[in-house]
Amino acid sequence: MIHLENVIKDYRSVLPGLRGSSVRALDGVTAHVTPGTALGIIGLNGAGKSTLLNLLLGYLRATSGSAPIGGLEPRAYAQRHGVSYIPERVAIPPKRSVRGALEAYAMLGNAGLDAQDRVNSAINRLGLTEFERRRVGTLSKGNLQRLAVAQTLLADRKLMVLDEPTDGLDPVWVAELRKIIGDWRRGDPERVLIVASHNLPEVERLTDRVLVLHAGRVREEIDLRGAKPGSPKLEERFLELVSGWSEAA
Amino acid sequence: MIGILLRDLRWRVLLVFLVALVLYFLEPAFHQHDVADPEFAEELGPIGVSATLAYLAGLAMIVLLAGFVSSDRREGYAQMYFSQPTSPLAFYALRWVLAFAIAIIAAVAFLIVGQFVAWGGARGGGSGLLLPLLTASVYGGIMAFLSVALPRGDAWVAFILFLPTFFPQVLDLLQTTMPPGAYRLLLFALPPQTALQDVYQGLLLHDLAWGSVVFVLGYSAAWLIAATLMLRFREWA
Repeated sequence: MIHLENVIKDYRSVLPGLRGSSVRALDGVTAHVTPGTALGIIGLNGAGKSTLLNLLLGYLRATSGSAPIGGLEPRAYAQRHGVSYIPERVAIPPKRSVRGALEAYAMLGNAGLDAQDRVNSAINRLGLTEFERRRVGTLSKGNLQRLAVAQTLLADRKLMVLDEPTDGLDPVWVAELRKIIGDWRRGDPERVLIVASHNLPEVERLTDRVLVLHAGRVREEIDLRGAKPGSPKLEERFLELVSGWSEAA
Repeated sequence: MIGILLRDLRWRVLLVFLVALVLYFLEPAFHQHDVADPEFAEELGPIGVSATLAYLAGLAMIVLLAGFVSSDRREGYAQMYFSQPTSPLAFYALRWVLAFAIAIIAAVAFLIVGQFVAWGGARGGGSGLLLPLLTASVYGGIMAFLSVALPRGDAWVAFILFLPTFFPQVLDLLQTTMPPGAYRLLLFALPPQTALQDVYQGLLLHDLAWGSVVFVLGYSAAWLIAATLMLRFREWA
């Protein structure tokens, strides 16, 4: 479904030479994601995780290389099919009510005649009933994150992209998020989940395969499905990799 | 979607209403205590009101479109909007058209309500609505471009560009202090006040200045095309 081929992304200064040189955020990333995969993306701060997700949503364009999704450029894919997306920093107009915000996303997502039913169902599933008339700007971080999760339930998408999805959620809602993602995946075996997070135990629970990014490159690809009982946890393997990079440096 | 966008705009619509109220008190045609001098009869008649309608429409576009693209980018709202199957161009075009419609409705309401309140009945002046239509398209074009191009402050820049409309002395001052070439360049970039003035005079004389109308529409279209291209090619993260 997703074919990343030697993707390079440079952030260039608006005034080259005057305000610093360009920064290479992704440096030749190649990865293939088949339908039905749950892919984790992990790495240190600045490894290129968010840049990669922004490329997959078409918010950034690759400097070189290609990243077609279902045969389309990422922006064209998002515009045609939509992507269930939770950004790292959830930003929703603060003066809208919780219900109003969800209605707006449902409208933008072409939810059609059953938009109200979907909004009601998402509000109930995420336990937002008591907040539905409240302004978004008055929500706590955890409730804002629940609103962002609710927004992903408004339509049936083939691709879900989550950037630090458990950020701000308490353990009860982390467990509920796991159930929601599980139900979503079971709803259609072709669906693709991509999760970028520093919460490695959660990535291990949610995904089948993990890309380890470092300095914009894929340093390791870990298949979690074949992990034998007693084999090191993802967190241990990652820390081991990091110490190896430090020694090499 | 239109209902949700209108709800978002409710405080701005209230501000447009307040602007209209202030302009009502500034409009000389609505405050004649003596029989008008025949020399100024046209300017103090229903067509003459069109200059004030133009101010209202221009200011309404600035108020309604302030930050309409830039704040979505800056605050990050765009990221969750455009993960939905929605084209940014279609989304912002809808918001622009909505603002344009509100600006024109405000001008029409001002014309009708103003006449009833000041004169006790309608005396026409519908053809004068061409001027607010043109002015709304000018400031709509400018706001579209500025909101795509600037991270913030688009409405303030547009408001500064609007000021010579109220205070033509600013332009006179610039003409005397700037080199002629630079002044011509500045006039080219500034809102086409001279062409709008020609349209106004043409309306008063019942002889429409088509060349000026086309120039104003071309000026507005140029900004809108520039905004569209930037919107199409700019990154969102």
